[in-house]
Amino acid sequence: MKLFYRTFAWVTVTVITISLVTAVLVRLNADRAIEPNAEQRVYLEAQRKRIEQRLNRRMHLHLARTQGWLVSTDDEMAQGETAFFKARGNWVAGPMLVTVGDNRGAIFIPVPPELARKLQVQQWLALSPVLVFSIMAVLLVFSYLLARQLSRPITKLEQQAQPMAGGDFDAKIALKLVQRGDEVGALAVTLNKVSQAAHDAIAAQQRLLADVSHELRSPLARIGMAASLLQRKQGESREVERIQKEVEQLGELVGELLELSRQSIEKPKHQACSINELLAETTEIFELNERDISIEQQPLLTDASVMASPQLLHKIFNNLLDNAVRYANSKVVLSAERQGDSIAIAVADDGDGLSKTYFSELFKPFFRPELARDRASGGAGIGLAIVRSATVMLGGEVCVTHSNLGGLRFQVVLPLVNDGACGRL
Amino acid sequence: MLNVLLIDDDISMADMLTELLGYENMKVTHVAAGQQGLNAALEGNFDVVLLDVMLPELNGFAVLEQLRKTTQVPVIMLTAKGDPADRVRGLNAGADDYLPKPFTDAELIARIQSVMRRFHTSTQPQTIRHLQSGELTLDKLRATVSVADETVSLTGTEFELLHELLMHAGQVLSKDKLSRAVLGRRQLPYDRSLDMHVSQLRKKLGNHIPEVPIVTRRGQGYLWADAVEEQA
Repeated sequence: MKLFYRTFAWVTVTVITISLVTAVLVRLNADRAIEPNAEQRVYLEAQRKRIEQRLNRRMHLHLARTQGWLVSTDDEMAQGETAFFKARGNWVAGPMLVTVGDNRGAIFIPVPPELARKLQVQQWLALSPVLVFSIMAVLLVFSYLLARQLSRPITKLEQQAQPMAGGDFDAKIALKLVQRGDEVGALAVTLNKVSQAAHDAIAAQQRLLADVSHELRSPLARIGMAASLLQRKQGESREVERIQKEVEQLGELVGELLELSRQSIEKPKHQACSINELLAETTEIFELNERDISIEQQPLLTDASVMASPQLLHKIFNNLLDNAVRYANSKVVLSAERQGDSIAIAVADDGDGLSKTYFSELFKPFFRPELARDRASGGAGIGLAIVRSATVMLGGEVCVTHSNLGGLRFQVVLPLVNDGACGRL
Repeated sequence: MLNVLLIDDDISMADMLTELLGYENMKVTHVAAGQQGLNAALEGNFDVVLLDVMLPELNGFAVLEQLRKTTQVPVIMLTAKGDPADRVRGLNAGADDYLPKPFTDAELIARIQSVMRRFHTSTQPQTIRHLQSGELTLDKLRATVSVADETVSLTGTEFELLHELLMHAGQVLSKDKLSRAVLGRRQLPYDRSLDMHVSQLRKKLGNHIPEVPIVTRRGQGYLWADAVEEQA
């Protein structure tokens, strides 16, 4: 059913219910008399006196009828307390006792329209609090149902669209929403199309980047060979050495670009990877480093596993350790700890660190703070971009903070339990 | 003088390789197409064949298949992509080694020398064929490693690395020395390729031996810390 008709139906039901309830309550209340308040008592007493005087002038009770007053000599009628009540749709005040000569009677007088309106309001206000609250409760329930009816699918849609907003264009709106067939369903279908279009556009660009990087490698290899030949023919020279060094660096950059673009295109296979094994292997690879930085590892007390592609996992920590070793002064600490359903693995160094202002930029490709540029050891500036891309592909998060060792601390949080985002493919 | 047949359609690279290998005392004959290459390999007397996979007409695998029907000449496959499937296919089809493109001249030269070393071991039976350390045996001729008769599946690089470590057992080998011997290039700062190969080797051997005797000496290098016996 279309959302429009649903809303229409719910509003109609709500309005009709409110009307019916109000009508019933008003009717129930219609017969109830209203006690006059002090001011009204004064007014009524003044009226009573005026009428009594007029009747006494004529000395005849029955004359009252000609004035539009209702007079009764019936004693029973004269018994009640003076009040306002409705008689045949009109407000009347009475009974009020009048004495005309020796006769006594009860008199009922019509209430002027202005006062009648006030009385009507007073009557509504006099409804019992229980009834008023019941009406409000019913109204609240209906409003809630109506609001929920409208907002729930939209909220769900919004929640499911969140990953897309975060740049995950593999995310899809669930079939349940897509198949609704109403406006929300149509929006879900459109969102999926938008996501697919974005995914395709990015994939095409990544493929282009991968192809370009790949095509660059052969000419680079040829330049390298030409430089080797030149060296053979003319002997060692600073220029040839320079060419070879640049070719090596460019080759490295192209290799990493290729890796970055491939990561986005290819879906790596996931398997259970032991965290402590990962820590041990990473430490092993960096133990023998050129700057003689000591690598300390703090594994989990009881080992745990994450579902991940071993290649991506190793790439993440190799890149982080590579950076840490470059910028540390003497020590790098690699540690892991459980955080609820996740595992947090941190790489901290005791280097000079970096101003917080750079933190958000660090994971962008080719970003290198001045500090890193000055250093001959600075890489191509793409390592952390690969780290982030790989972490996201594993359904995790990476962040950077200041380390209490002095330098930077990179923390990668990976889900311990496999969820849809990094399912086995 | 080593006679090398290069079957590759990248002419400008082939020209440079011809010259570069010339300096290493290797004579290169270059053929650009598959069928011609096969004919040349069958007719000529070559010591080693460098075979590109992506070739016009007859592709590298087909050439290798034909070639293996008649000759056991060492073949190094040159492939465009470092696709593991290609590697397995090449080695199963009878290739002796495999080098992903693009490669540097140093890498190629190292591979040729390593393949030739293995080939010569097989043709000269009087030299040492096996290296034995504890339960581990390295067979130079078949380029295989086994632990208590169980084969350890190693890549070409891992095999070379283990070979180098065993040959110099008890000595600390610097990363630069190992890199030159195994990868055919000098060790560059922040290059972790060698360390990764060592890590992989440790892991693979670790599945068969409880304590792998590869020791890391901080600031110095790697060493095989166990006795090694040479056997025929």
